[in-house]
Amino acid sequence: MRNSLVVGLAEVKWSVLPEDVLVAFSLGSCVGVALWDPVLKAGAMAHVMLPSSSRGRKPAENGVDACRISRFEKPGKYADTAVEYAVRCLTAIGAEPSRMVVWMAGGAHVIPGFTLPTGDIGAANIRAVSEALKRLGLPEPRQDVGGDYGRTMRLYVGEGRATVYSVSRGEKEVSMGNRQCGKGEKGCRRCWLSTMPCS
Amino acid sequence: MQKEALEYSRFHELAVLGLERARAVLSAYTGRPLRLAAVRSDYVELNRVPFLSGPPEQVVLSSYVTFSGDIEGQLLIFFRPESVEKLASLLAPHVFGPLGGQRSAALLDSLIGEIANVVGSAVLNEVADGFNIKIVPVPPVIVREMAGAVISTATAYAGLDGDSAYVAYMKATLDEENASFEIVFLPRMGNLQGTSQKTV
Repeated sequence: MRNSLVVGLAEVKWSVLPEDVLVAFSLGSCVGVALWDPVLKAGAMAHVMLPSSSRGRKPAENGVDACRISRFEKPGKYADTAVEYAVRCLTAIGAEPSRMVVWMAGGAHVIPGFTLPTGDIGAANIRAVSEALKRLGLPEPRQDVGGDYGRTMRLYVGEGRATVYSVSRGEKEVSMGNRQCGKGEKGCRRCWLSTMPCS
Repeated sequence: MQKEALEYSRFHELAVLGLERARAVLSAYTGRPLRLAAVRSDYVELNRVPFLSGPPEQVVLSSYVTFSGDIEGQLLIFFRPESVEKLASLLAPHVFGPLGGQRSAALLDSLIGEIANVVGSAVLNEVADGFNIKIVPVPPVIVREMAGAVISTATAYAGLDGDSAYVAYMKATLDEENASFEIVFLPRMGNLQGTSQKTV
């Protein structure tokens, strides 16, 4: 019996229960990031809305660093704080960032002909999540990003697999593509991941 | 905070007056009474925003209007597929009725754009007149997509601070729920307070 845990806009949730499925519904320009530790079989998901917690902020008059999220904001709202928080949720229970499997989905341009003067938010979210993953030493993500359509992302905690559903394409697994070295060399994280039961 | 609440309350009143005007126009077009079934406005937690117009994965035909000027924001109108057909057959029976001619997605989009123009301009004009401010809308964009994806993208475009969004939500029904559409108004936070000195 599966149990769906909805990861709402700007939220981060995690689970170690094998029956749990973390779900980020209807990602448009938002990006869903899923992390899974193959040893603990624990997963986390963030539903990122905006690229950076310093976006459009000016230093506060009292000198306090305004480039941090305020106490009224959830860490899942921004790519940088969301990825950091999701990693912290899993490392707190013993997960290792270097062995995590990572998935990313969303970042689409669903409203045609409309872009902010600062650029496409979907593309900016994808870039920001990729940078945050790299900065925190996480493996390169399996991804289904961009385009002009909405997606729902699911992470099956017990199985360590992630799927993406879209209206036009149905449901499919988020795969690694052909970005492994293919030689199975020691130290090639992507090849190592491909041997994990989830792949 | 009290002043802010008063201004949002006034905004809500004006938006409803505008919708009432649009209701009268659309009722005259269709020859049937259009009713306002649900009208509310409040701060909504971000995680609830994609669920505002029902199941977030449900595909809708939506009209997306942005506006700028003295206040900025977005106006979204959601039409469920079954409602679109019904509304279309009432508004343009010679094309979409039982004896109608060739139907096309482009024609349907155009019709939806027209409804969006009637509703959007009525609501925005009422708000602009009531606050004595200038609001400049852009022509509507028609999107066929999951309702949650459209509304969460619009929320991201609004670039809100904090963990909630001020949302005005209205539902209009025609023919006992067989044809309805929902209007979601997302004025950009902080804009309304700036309009107070212009209010008469």
